[in-house]
This record gives sequence, C-alpha cells and structure tokens, in this order.
Amino acid sequence: MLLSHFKNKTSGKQKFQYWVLALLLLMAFAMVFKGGYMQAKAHFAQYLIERAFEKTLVDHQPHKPWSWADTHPVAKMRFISQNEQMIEDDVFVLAGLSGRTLAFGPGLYLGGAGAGEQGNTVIAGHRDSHFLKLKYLQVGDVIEIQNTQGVYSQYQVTELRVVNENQIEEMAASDDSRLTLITCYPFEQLSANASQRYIVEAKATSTANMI
Amino acid sequence: MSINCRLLSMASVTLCCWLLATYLNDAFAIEHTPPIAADSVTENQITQGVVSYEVNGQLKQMLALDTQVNMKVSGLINRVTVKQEFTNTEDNWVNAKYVFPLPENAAVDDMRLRIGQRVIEGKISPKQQAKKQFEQAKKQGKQASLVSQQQTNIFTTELANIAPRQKVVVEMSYLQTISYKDGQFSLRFPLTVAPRYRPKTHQGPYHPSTQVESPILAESATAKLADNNSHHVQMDVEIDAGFEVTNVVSHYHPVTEVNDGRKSYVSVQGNVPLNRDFVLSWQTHSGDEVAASGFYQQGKTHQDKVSQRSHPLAINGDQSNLYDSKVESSYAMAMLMPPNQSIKSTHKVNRELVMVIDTSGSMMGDSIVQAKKALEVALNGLDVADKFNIIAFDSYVNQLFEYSVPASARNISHAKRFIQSLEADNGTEIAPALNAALSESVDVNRSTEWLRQVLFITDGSVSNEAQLFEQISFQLNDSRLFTVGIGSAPNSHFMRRAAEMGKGTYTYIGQVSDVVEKMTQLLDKISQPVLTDVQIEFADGTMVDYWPSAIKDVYQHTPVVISFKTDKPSMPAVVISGKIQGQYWQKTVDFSSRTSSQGLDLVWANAKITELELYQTPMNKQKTAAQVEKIALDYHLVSSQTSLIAVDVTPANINATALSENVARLMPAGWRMNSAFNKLPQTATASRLWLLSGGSLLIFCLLYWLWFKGVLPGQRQFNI
Repeated sequence: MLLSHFKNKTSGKQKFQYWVLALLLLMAFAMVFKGGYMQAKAHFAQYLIERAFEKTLVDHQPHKPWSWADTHPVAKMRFISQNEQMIEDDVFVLAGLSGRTLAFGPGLYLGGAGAGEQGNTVIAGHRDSHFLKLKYLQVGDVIEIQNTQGVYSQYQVTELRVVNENQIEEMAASDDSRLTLITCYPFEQLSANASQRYIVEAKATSTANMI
Repeated sequence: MSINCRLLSMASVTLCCWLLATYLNDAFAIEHTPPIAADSVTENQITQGVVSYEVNGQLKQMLALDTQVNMKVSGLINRVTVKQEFTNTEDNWVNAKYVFPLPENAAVDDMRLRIGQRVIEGKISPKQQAKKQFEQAKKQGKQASLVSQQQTNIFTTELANIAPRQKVVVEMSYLQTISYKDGQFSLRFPLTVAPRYRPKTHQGPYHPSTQVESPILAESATAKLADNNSHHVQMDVEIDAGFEVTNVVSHYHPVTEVNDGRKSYVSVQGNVPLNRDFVLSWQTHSGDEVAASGFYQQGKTHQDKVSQRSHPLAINGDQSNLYDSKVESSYAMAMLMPPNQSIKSTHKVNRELVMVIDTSGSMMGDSIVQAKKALEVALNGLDVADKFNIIAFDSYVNQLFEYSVPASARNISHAKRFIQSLEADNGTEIAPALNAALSESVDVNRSTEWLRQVLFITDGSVSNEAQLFEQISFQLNDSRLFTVGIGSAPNSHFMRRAAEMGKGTYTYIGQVSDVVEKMTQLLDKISQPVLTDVQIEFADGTMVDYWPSAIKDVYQHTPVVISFKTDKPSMPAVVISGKIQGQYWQKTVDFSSRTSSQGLDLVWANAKITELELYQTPMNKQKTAAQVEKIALDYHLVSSQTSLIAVDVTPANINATALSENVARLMPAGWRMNSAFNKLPQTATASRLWLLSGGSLLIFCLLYWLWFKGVLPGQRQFNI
C-alpha cells in the first residue's frame, strides 16, 4: 500500500488519504457505538427490569424483563448513604452471574442465599455501570433490599475491602445474614480484565414486611 | 510535504493495527494475564507454602500443610495411613483446627502424634471424656491432638499449643471397604469438602439435628486462600486384590504403576493440589457363575492396648501374637459375586423407572449440565415395555407426569423437552421430592410385577440427613432407591446411606466425560437383578450376627458383602441363599482353608455402628449412643460417641497463650458456576475504554481532515 502510494505521488496520494480517513472514521464510530451500546444497554434495560419486578411483586412469580431474556429480576436494591455523591436511585438485581445477565443489571449468586434470606447473599455488578456507585459507599451506610415477596431487608455496611479474584471464599455460605457486593477494582481502570475485586460486606439489621 | 504525509500515513496505519490488535485481544483472549500489580510480590511470597491472613487488622501467617497417604488394599479392605504435617511459621504459640474429610465408609482405629523425635500413641475415649482430657492438657500447656467425628465422613483434628517454628505430624490409620461395581474395584480419597446448604426446616419434626460446623472458612472470610501449591498431597497405594489385577486407573491424578501378578503398586507423582478427589480403580479376573467367597480373621485387630504397644507390628500381620493371646471371637466377610455372562432376554424384568433430578442453585454450572445428560442417557436406555416418570425439584417439586407412563416415543420426546427447560435455581428441599417419588407418584392400581426403581440424581449438599433417612424408611415400601452423585463434591455419606436403605446403589459422577459411560453402566445393571432376597445362616442352622441387616439384591456386576462374627475361635461354614428369577439358590462358604485377613473385625464393628445409627430415632437415641460407645471402645474405633486422643506428658508451653487458627480449605472444583476459572465473577466491561478510544480516534480524524484540507494554523503560513 505504501509502495503504490510512493509510485503515484501526485494522483494516488489524495485518494489514499481519503481512504485512510474513511477507515479511521469508521473505526472511531464503531468504537463509540460499541462502548455507548454497552452503557445504554446497562442503563435502559433497568427500566424494563423495573417493570418486570413490579409484576413479580404483584403475583410473586418470576417475570422476564423481555421475552428472550434468560433471567428475571429477584430484588430491588437501594443505597442510603451520607455521601453527597451517592445518587439514591433504585437498582434492580437479576438472577444469576453470567456475563449476559451482568450486562443488564447486577446479578444474584443463585448458589448462595436469596435476597433477605439468612446466609450469604452475593450480588455482583459491573464497575463501569451499576456498581460504579459502590466506590462512594462508606462503612455504616445502609443498603435496602426488597425481595420478590415484597419484604424489605436492611443491611449496614461493615467492611470495605479489596481482594484477589481467586478468593472465592467471599461467596461461601455463612451462618449470619449478610450481603456481599462484588465489583471489579480499581474503579478507574478502563479494560475489561481485572484481577482484583472490591468487596462490600454488609450485615443484616432488620427485616420488615411491607404488607 | 510528501515526507510529512508519508509519516502521517504510516502513523495512522500503525495506530489502526494497534487498535485492531487490542480489539482482537479483547474479543478472543479467554484467559488474559492481568498486569502485574504492585502488591503481587507479597502474594508470590505467600504462595510458597505459607498463607497469610488478617484478623483484627493484624497480618498473620497460616500454617503450611503437607499430607501423605499410604494405602494397603487387601481384597475388599483398604488399610490407610494419613500423615499430616503442620509447621508453625509464627513466633507465637498456636492453636490450630483442621477438618479432615474421610472416605464415607472409613473407620478410624489408630492415631499417632509426632513432635520431633517423640511418638505419642492415641487411645479411644468416650467423647466428653476425651474433650475434657484435651482441654485439660491445653490448660496445662501440654501438646495434644484430638480427632472427633462431626458427621460420619468429616473428622476434625485439633492441635493445641504448637511451639513457634515447630513441626507437628499427625498420623492416623483407618480402615475402608473398597467399592466394587461393574467388574471394577475402586477407592476414593476425598481431598475437599463442599460447603453444605442448610434448609429452612433444619430443626425437623423427625430429629433434633445438631448444628454442623461448616468446614469452609465462612467466618474468617478475610483470610487469603492458599494458592494450589501450598496444599500438597502424596499418595502410595499397594493393592492385593486376591485375584490377578488388571486395568489400574487413576481418574484425576497422574500416577506411576507397577504390576506384579495379584499385586499392584500405585503412587501419585509428586504433589497434587487438594481440589479434586483421588479416584483409583482396578479390575480382576473372575468366574462365569454366581460366586460366593469368604474372608476370614481370628481375633480382634486391637486385641489388647498394652500388648500392642510392646508389639507394634501386631496390627500389621504378626499372627502368632494373636494366637497366643486370648481369642474370644472370629470375624468374616462373605462376598457374593455375580456372573460375568450377560443375562438372558427372556428373564428380563419390566421396570418402572422414576427419575428425580435436583435443580437447586448448588447444581449450577457443570453439575446441571451433567445431570441433564444423565437423564437423557436414562431415557434413551428405556425399553418399550418399561414405564417412566421424571420429577425435578429445588425448593419446589415439578412432576412431569402424575403417574408413570409407558416409554413410548411420544412420551419420551415430551420428557426430553421437559429436561431441556430445567434450570438450576433456589434451595435444595429433598424431603418434598422424596415424598413425590416414593409416595405421591405411586399409582395404587399399579401391577406389582413392575420393579419400581427410583433414580435420585442430586449433589446432596444437605445437612439434615437423619430426618431424610427417617422419611425414606417410612415411605420406601417395595421401591428400590438408586442415588447418583453429580459434581465434584456430593455428600456421599447421605447418598450411599439413602441407597443402602432403598436396597439400591450409589453412583458418583465427577466428570462430564464420564456421564454417558457411568449412567449406561448403572442403567444396564439395574435392569438385570441376578439374585434377590438374600439370606445367610450357619450350616448348622443357627443365626448369624451379620451386618448390614438389609442384604441387597445382587445385580449383574455388583457383588454383595456381608460382615459377620462368631464367638467361637474358628468360623464355621455359612449357607447363603437367595432367589434367581424366582428359583431358590444356595451356596455354602467354608472358611477352614482360608488364610487370615486383617481388619475384618473393624469392618464388622463399623458396619454395625452405621446400621445402629441408621435406625436411630429420638426414642432410642440414648440407648443407641450407649451401644455405639461400647462397640467403639471394644474395637478401638472413632465414632459419633468416641474420640481418639493423644496427649503428651511433658509440659512444653509455659505461658499458654496460643492463638487460634483455622487452616484454609480449598473449594472443590466445579462448586461454583465458573469452574474453569475458579475466580470471582468478572465484573467489568471495556465500555469506557471503547468510548475513550473511539472519541480519541474521532479527534484524530478531525485533525487529519483539517490537515488534509490545509486549514491547520501551521499549514496556512506554509501555503502563503
């Protein structure tokens, strides 16, 4: 390519540069689209998931947020923090931890305790979307979870820590009622690969029935 | 100008290539090596045999751990010696606790504690007494070790007051019966324990079950798990099968093997990580008819504690010593071996096969995939004359048909669609599932000619075993119960005992590639019973004291083993009878010409203890406990009522301020959904990277275009 350009200095030069420009533009738009699509998916899917969860609250049956989904909402989560940067809007949690699930919302580990149940409730989410706000959480902050039965449970953050991705004991069962939130660390890192995880450990404070 | 242009073109092409490479890397790299973090140096230090963890903000170091296993197989008995090495790498005195996963049918009878050059023998005491002795020794600053039983297949070793930098070796011996199935002998050595799920109805109406301490590091979640190479195991197995040994296979670990006629020596090469069970299997040349053989032993293994100490080799085969001492009883084991040839088609029994599949959250990942495959194998293996039904359960029961239906093509394709729709979710509530399988789905109008076989497929991670056993014995009737364990760590204790009660078998499937083979073997076997309603008595017509009391049917390729004893110094001949296709069958086994085996008394005692506990109810709990304690003390066994304790007489620690420490256990492979990676879930996308690089490239394009148009500030000057 370079060689041909060298031969036809005058006529081919312009043509070649247009091609390069077009190629670069195409790549730029593709990348922006790809990144934007991921963010948009994460953001807008939550509205559909919210609708499905509201249906679930009425009849206590699992509802898929969209017909081809392979998961369903299992809980609503809200962070109540003293930190001003913490925007208090609801996050809807889906069943399962597969990559497909996490793209739309935080996932509940089905091998652990359910939302509000006794045991270790493990929820993982993406650090660049739903769980970005975990970095503003402080010890003592309250996390409120509503399960599919409409029951609210409150957890108080007891510890924030960074672990290696191999430390799967974070997901092991426990005797007390605790909530373990998992996201990738550090928050500012751009790549999709991370060897560290940020763990928010919260202990149950109360369970109140809505109805 | 042209040089500038060429440079810019080259730069842009290079940029393109780099971006493309990054994209390809992201898209196709499955296992990406993370960049070396700043703290990786300290982590590397930890992985070299030492594990550090934090308690109260203080960084501590965990004990390094090394396990050596020595096995001696004779016939259907396996004598195992396990050696555990603990090194206290701290400058403080340490109290450690180690949970030991024994094979489900193991009976511990000896333990030794080595500290430096000193050897301390263990002895069996009633549990409370042993605990008291242990605590007392701990208070006095003495070194002590205690092995006690939590559930039948989990033992704990407590190590109190280990001096700084000191090495402590705990050595224990146990006896295990070898399983023989489909012409194959096999032994399994569990190297990990799964976290067990406790259902809501834990305090059930049947049995006030006691809480089980989880062997997993649930409470010290801050501790850093060991990298694989800090937990080591070394195994040496000597097999004497009685017949010529063939086809010795280690399923998950590379081994070296030397074959020498009826003997075979197997050893695991180097050290292996503790996240997979060790499974070894072998075969022998056997006859063409239903065969009965006997193993025989005179006197007990632990005849007298005092004489044994003076003759340490007495356990290992000094028979003259046993004859010299007072002989009260002799022990035997009878084995019923099915024929090698396949069964005639005219004798085939029609079956009603009820398949029960666990779809709980703990089945997520490999396990549910395996279970689904297993069900399809079962469906494909059905005869047109057979009936079948499928019951899926997690927290709820999902029954395919109300009662079993004929295995027509239509019904089977309906069942296959049902299987495909199954997903792993929720908890494991086994009780309602058993209720559906053994009671609700039984058609009261059905013909009794059909052999009702219930195939129970689960990973059985449940703690309330006793109340489920109770339920099974109430509801079983004439159903046979076959259990299939899926995944890397099913609760084999529950599975085997449930099968025991249901006169069925237990099948363990650890690898996806094994599913079709093992399920086919099982289904083949349960379609061919060769000897039913087995009974045993002495040739003179007197009763035999035998265990297990419910003798199983003999299936094709599945021998039946019966342990029994007599108070006479020599074992008289026994007559074993049964039915082959309705015809009476009997065989006399004579022990006069047998050479003596070792450890049969322990097999007998352990079988009796297992049986006693199996039929334990809240009513006779006290009585059973007393019986178990007496047997365990008599035969020198660790049981639910007795502990093995070894206490040093010399005080070693003057100021007894030891730190408590739990040795980390590795998670079993496949326990979590993402078993291939053994990592926490991946919780990052490159969305922001894409946005940023896409944005940068856009700006670059803009500049390029401006330059190309010649409207950049520098260029304008040049043009003028």
